[in-house]
Amino acid sequence: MTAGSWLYTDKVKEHFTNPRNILDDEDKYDSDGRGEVGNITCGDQMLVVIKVKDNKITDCKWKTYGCASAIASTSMMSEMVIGMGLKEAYHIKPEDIVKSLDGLPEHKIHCSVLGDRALRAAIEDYYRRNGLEDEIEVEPARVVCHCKNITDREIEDFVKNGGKTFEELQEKTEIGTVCGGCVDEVKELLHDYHHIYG
Amino acid sequence: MEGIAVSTGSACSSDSLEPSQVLLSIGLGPELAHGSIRFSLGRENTESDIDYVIEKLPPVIAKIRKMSTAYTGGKK
Repeated sequence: MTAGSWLYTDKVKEHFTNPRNILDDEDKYDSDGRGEVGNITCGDQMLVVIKVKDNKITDCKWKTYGCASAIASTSMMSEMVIGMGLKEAYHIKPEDIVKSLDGLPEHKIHCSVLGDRALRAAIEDYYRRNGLEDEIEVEPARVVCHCKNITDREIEDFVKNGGKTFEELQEKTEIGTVCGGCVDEVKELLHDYHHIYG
Repeated sequence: MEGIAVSTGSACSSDSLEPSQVLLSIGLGPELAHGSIRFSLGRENTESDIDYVIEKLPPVIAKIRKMSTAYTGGKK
């Protein structure tokens, strides 16, 4: 642990102390799409609502239960996507948000940037409400551990690279160390991947 | 914030993002355990330091609650 690893950039501090586009009262907000990801047991939860016109996001508001970097990330993302085309916004990545913030402490990146997923969920909700299900893309990787934001792809890679036990995987990634709800599924996935690659 | 230095957890678990086991064990729910902060006092702190914190803290809490999905203000 080094002191430097916890330092926030000026942009993170600015967005945390003066967050943009907070959703005030959801009952009074007439959204075209709504997405919610994470849960309070894990420690981060985000709600994103959007308004859409002519395939563009005309407004984006949010609420976040999480740490300073989670709040700053969602705030930054909301600024980034207002005025952005739906397609482009649909493909925004955590790295894009982190870059706009001039970086985040390393062990904050994994769990705090849920914003892109909440936004995706909101855009998919918009597509569903408007009969545009064809626009929804099947995610290439699926998040298994929602607390640590770890996908099935990462578990697959672990096995591909010679990883064996659940304990080893947990040591490496902290998978299943918060709410523990995914542990059984992770063990099953490990078993499956060992069958494929073992 | 406001010249007050606090911590989101004990120093011995500063590398961890998990909520305090102590707070969970005494029966706090995850939203309170994750949302707790720790104040430490030293011999150089004065009573007016404490008054200062008591004055500065409530608006900060109100601000964080306003942007939180967890805080419903008693309604669900």
